[in-house]
Amino acid sequence: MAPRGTKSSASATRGRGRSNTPNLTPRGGGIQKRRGDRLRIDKDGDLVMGTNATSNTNKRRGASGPNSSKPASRSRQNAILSTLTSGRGGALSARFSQPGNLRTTRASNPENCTTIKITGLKESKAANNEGGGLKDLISFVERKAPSAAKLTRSVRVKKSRLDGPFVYILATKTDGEAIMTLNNFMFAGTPLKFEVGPDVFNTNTSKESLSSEAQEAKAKLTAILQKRYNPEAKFLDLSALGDDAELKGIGAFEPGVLPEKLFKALMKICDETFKTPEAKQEAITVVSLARNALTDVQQVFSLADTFPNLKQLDLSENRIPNTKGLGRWRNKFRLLEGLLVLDNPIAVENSFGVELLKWWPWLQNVNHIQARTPEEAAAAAAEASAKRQPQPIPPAEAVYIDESGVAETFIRDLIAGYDSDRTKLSAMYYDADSVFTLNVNTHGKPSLSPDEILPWAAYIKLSRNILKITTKSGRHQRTFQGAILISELWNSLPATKHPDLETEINKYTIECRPLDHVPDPTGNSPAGVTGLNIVINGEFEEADAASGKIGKRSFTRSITLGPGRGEKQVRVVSDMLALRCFRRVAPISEVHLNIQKIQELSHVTGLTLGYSELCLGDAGYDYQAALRLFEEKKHQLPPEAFIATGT
Amino acid sequence: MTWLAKARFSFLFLPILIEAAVEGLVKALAGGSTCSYTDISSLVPAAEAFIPKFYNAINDLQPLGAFYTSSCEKYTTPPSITINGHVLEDVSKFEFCLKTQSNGLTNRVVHEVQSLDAQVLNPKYINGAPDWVVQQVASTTGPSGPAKDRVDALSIMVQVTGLVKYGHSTDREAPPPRNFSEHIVLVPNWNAVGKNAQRGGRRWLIQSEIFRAL
Repeated sequence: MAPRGTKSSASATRGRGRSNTPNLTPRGGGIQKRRGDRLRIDKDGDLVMGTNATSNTNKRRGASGPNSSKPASRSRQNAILSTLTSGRGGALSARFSQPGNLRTTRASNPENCTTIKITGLKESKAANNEGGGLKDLISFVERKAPSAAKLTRSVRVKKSRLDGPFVYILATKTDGEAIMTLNNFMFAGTPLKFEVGPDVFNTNTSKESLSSEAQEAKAKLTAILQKRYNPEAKFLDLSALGDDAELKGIGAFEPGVLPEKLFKALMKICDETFKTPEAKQEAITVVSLARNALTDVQQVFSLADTFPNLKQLDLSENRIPNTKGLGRWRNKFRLLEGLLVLDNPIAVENSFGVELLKWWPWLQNVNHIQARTPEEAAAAAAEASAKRQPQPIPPAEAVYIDESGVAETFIRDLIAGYDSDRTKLSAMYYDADSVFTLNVNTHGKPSLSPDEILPWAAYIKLSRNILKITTKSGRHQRTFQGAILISELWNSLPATKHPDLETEINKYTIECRPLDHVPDPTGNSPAGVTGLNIVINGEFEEADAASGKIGKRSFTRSITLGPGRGEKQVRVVSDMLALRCFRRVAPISEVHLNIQKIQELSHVTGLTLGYSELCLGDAGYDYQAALRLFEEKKHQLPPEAFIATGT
Repeated sequence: MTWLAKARFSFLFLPILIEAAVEGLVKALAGGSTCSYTDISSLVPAAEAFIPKFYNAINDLQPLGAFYTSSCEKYTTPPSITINGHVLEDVSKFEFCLKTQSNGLTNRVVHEVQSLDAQVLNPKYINGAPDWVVQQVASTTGPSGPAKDRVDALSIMVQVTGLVKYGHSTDREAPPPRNFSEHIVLVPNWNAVGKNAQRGGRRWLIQSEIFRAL
């Protein structure tokens, strides 16, 4: 999310003749200069968001006019969005916190590089993440290797490739040694195995022969599947695969035992043959895995991913000892109606059917015995769906529309100015009508360690949280209008240090969208003009004068920019600052993984999700470190930190 | 160090600020400034009334159309809705997102508002306004006559922060709660002002919304 704010802005402004060097120069004359040549105000007084003739034609007709600017800004928006999605290689964007880009751009010299094969990603919880969890794994490796190998420098993965159950990565010889020390480290609940692997990145010739071999194997497997498929009955017979003579010809394996890899290959072919879930469901509703010597469903787990909507499943004549053996499929097969587990040790258990009915709401028939009616199954299914967990709206990159670079210049000046010279900042962008308010959200729990919590004393009297400040006069008192009053107020607030916009951009989420009908101080456009609404979510460090503590706070700041009057080309119309306890905001790419860690930690420790998140936050989302932190602090935690037992 | 800094922890602080704020307001009312012909103190009650209803509707998966400018034909451009970085074309898309998120069950995903603030963005908001409102706004003296004819021709920036809770807090399988920030621009519902006002319609509508779970 975040970073993308400024990163996006960088791609949006590239090609405007700006230097690619990150702006590390101290503010001062530079800002004035940039403002001079990048800021333009059009005839109607709008902040120019990329000049588009059609958007300006109707504007003068007052009230009805500005509406016409919207379609134009939409198309601009699309153009920008497409730049953003394809713009990863943009000169500036590459510099913004994307060390990973080097992976794809830099050619590698094979002599100095090591290829490492990593096993375990497929079994880990990250496997369901976008891109199979590859990105998460790589960032894990790059983050962990230096500390595991006790290095002070960083370690870089040059290339990576996901290949079935394996991940191949390429790194320099020295980095490779560091990475190898990660062998058996836990990643998303699974130990990873690292070994020096074949050089899959550089051998074009062997790759070709490999792929033709693979082609051949694939053709054979497809033929086998065809023979075992009965389209009328929608039945795929995968029974006794271990005894299949043709299969044995493809890969050597123990008689009677089916290798997981081979099964996955079969499933992959099914996925390729029936492209959509609907097509699969239409073609196959019954599968038999009888006589495969299965003791659990590990080897054939991928059946659930390929055929999630299966209705009948035959597992007869295997060696499944108890319900645990089927446990990994517990949350799969939501539509399974019939199950056969005849001639398995499990079938001797009396109560196994009861347990299975709980797992699979539509299940009605176990070992040819009707266990519940379709009506009862429907009721169970309804109950199960009522228990389904919410699916949070997934985060996407920040929307950042700022073609003219007005917002970017402002954001740089704001962050730098608020940290170093607030009087100057207020004089630059605030005028007699600009309004600033701040509010404090005191609900959050900042940290597991109470001595790291900054007090709210410096802000609380100024907080215009209108849920708390209910009188008219109280609200008026906390409204600060005009540059002079605003700068006096700011200078009374604690000193801050915001993360660097270039190197720590991932600590921010910055969104920016055009906003119609902001006031026009020149009075030429009574209906108002198009301004910009910027929303910055981020954090800053603060030294609390009263207690002498240094700590962090999270903030959300919304600023509306409009055209100024006279010398000021851009003015702040409205500035609203919301403060809350510090919580590290995870970059979008890490969100899914972090949620899994939070849930895992809650499982293991009995902490509530909120406290698990706190604990992981304190530990920088390092799972092992969070566990250690928990052990250290668990006796100091309040009772409400733990999930009540017996509920 | 300014006088303000020294006074930070003293009880003198607020009275001083009152004077300063009142001074600012008086200056603004004296003219020469774009602020404000109308009684801007109405803006806070507007947000105060609007926000709880809006989040109740979200948590309850109620129809949301009536909260947005698309419900007033005087507004010809669609509201701008950005949720977690997704630009949604219309309100129904947002409703769909909310429904999917909570598996169609009400009050399974609950937005709890923890802080709320509001400021006037445009004190003379006349986009889509009926002619008599435009004239009223244009007159420098401001509206006269009975209070029911007075119109708050404003746009308002509302800032909300809070917590989104997913499922039950005791449920370990549930996604962990997240902080959120939301910025909403409210504008008048022109169908709800004047003599022919719709009865029971919302007085304020959303022109722009930027939501982000953090």
